[in-house]
Amino acid sequence: MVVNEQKYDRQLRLWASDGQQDLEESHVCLINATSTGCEILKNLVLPNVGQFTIIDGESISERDLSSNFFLEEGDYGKLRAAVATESLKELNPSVHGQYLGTSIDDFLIEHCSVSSFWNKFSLIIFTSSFKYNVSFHKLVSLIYGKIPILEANSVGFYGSLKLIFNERTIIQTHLNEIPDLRIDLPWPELSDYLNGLNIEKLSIEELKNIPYSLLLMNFRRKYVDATGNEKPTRKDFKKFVETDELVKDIRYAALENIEELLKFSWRGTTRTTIPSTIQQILEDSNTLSSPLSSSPFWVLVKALKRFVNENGCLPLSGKIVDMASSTEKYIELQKLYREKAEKDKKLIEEYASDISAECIVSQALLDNFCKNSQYLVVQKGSKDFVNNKMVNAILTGDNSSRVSIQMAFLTLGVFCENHEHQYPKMEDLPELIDITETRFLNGNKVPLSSKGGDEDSKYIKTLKEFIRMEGCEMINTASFIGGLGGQEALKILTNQYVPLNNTLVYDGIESSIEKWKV
Amino acid sequence: MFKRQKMINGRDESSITPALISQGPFTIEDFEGGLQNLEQLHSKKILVLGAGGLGCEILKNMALSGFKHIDVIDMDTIDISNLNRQFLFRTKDIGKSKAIVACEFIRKRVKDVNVTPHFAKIQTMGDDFFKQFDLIISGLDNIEARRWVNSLVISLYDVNDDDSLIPMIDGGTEGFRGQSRVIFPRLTACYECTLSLAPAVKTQYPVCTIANTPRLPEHCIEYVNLIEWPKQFPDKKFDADNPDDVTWLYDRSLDRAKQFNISGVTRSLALGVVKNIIPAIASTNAIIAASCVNEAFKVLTSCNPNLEYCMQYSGDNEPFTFNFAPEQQADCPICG
Repeated sequence: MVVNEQKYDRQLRLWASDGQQDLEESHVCLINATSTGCEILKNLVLPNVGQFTIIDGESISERDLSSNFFLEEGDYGKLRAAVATESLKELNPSVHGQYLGTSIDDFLIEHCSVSSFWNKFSLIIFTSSFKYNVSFHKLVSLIYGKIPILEANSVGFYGSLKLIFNERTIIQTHLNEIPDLRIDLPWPELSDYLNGLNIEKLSIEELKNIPYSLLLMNFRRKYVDATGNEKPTRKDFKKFVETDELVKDIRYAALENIEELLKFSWRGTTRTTIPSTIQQILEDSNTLSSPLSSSPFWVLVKALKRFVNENGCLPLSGKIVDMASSTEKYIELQKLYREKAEKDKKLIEEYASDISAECIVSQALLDNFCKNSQYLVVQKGSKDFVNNKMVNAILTGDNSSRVSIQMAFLTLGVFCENHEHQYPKMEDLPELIDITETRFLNGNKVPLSSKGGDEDSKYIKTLKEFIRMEGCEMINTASFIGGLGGQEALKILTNQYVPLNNTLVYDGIESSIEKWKV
Repeated sequence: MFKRQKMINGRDESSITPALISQGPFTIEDFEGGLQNLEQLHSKKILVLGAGGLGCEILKNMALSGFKHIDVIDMDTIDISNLNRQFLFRTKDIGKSKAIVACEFIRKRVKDVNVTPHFAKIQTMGDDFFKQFDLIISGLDNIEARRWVNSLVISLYDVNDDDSLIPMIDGGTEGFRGQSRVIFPRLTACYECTLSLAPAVKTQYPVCTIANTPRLPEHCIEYVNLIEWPKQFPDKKFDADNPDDVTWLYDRSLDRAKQFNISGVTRSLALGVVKNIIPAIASTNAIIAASCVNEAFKVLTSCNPNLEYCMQYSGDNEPFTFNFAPEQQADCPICG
């Protein structure tokens, strides 16, 4: 394993060995080995995804060769799935790759009712979905809620990405930025420790050993005693600290911990609360359907709910920031926080086994859950493709919006469906407009020109740009979407970081992305 | 309509031709579509700085974007920890020059591209070397080399000679984040103008903390690195790529941590601290390199408007981009 630790060192620093293990146990399915599809897979094979399966019945065309780095010039006419599989496997010999040389259309006709085929996958990546509109939507309805689907498209300078899932629960969101110091709410052992220090009576020599969080706790207590106000403003509290005799007397000494105390004095005013996002999750745990409610995550959430009801706060994370102080005092303080975190964790564990004796919660999961209880994320996804925001953006001709790119992809899908996978030409523009209006805009008219001008509206321009690019994938767009798709897939497969929810477009002309939830 | 020209040797280019032969709805006004744009693109000379994570991606994208003359310069050799993202290299290539191996791979995949490697330090190349290029695209991993190149392209630009202007496109990544920027000497802000945006180089711990009051495992490691090593080996520089040196450092750091009751010293952390390791994955490099080469394509063909200065990308939460174009700094020491 030493070799692998060295090889994957730069990514282990992002998702650690537990994320790596999840990645290595996963199996992804790529439908259509397009340039975009191969780019996404490349970004998963390199970090050592467990397995991949490509489903693709096309033969390699000149156009494939012009934009796909994982095919070679001599491969013209060969089965695209086979060549791409070999070429991607060559990147990393420890990844297992296989292919099915059938088009998704034929595959679904033969295996449509067999959802068991799909169950082995952790993620399904569907590229060029607009060319296979019927199959794409068939597959979405077949596996929605069971396996997440990543839809990725690129034409010319435009790209789109969509993550289709019912619900995702994420523990290691990596959102943690605010240290959980409990300055306003020291538990008994911490209070006793603070009292034992006798801060007010310390000499300068002794005082410089004390981490600022303890000083803040002392000042906060003093402030509340003096004013009766439990909710000081940052400004008032800072002034209170600055003008305190103790601080005034020793400012000349420029002690590092006193500098930190003044710099972070606002932390003395923050209150230990339950973030609204976490409150929402606790409420959600009441209304779960039965298979979900027995999953380890939701059992832990229910345990968390009981913990909050009984203790008024979340379990302590146990992590403290570095603070200027003596080694001894810092280590003592760190030990107090760690012991309290351990105690809180034991309670959560106990509550969880009360709630469900059958549900097995590993120590690692329990540990992560308690350390991250402030930052848990539950995402509700959807399988919708159009919403009012998108309709309005098209109807009002909003020039700043890139919704038109996604609307055009949806429209292309219907066009290709009506014309046996054929890509539209300039003379098909009226038909494209008609499809948009009847299928996506409830019969409302697409504005043809921009407000008060002769110029085409944003949507018409976007459609013309699509038509002009003849459905070609350009390597830079494919690679950009491949990178984005790779990142999103990694988040799904490692169960870490917060993925896209749920629609994103890339505009390579304006060099930016826009995302929204449908 | 133009008839498609089939390349006699090499790959078909039908994926990029539509963008070049016709005027699009967003195309810059003075752009005229036509096959001459493709020919012009073929004649451009590009310099790629760095053949690492970004460099590999940049070379791949360039080779399929109609660029036929590419030079790449990198002084580094291939390390095992590169293989999780630098996809032109394999285990058998460890220890070889990145520039040379990358070029061999590109040549094998895309036969009609002229790629020339330079296994050298950028700062050792003379003005004449840089002058031959139409565009410089950089995927460097350090600020010093970027500043050096930035200052060079600005000094090479003579305002009375349009041909002396070399646009520079720069990419950088860290973890799930990155940025790409387009610099036109004296026309846009330069790298130096926005130096404050560059990430902090390395966390510096106060010497008195690491010597007297260590609290974190990092403090113990830095103590051994900065104080114990020079005492023990006054004539030998610490080499983070030498496993024996790293083992010595790790063992001593563990001892020191134990002495102060500090937990959490691991070999991986020790390496991270002394080498100042920045997390890196293929997908982030793919995003930023694609953005850089897309801009290079637009800048050199004028087929669509290019990015105004900088696109910042962040993917550690739901992905987003932020574009901005600061003014040139009047007091910039390089271009002001």
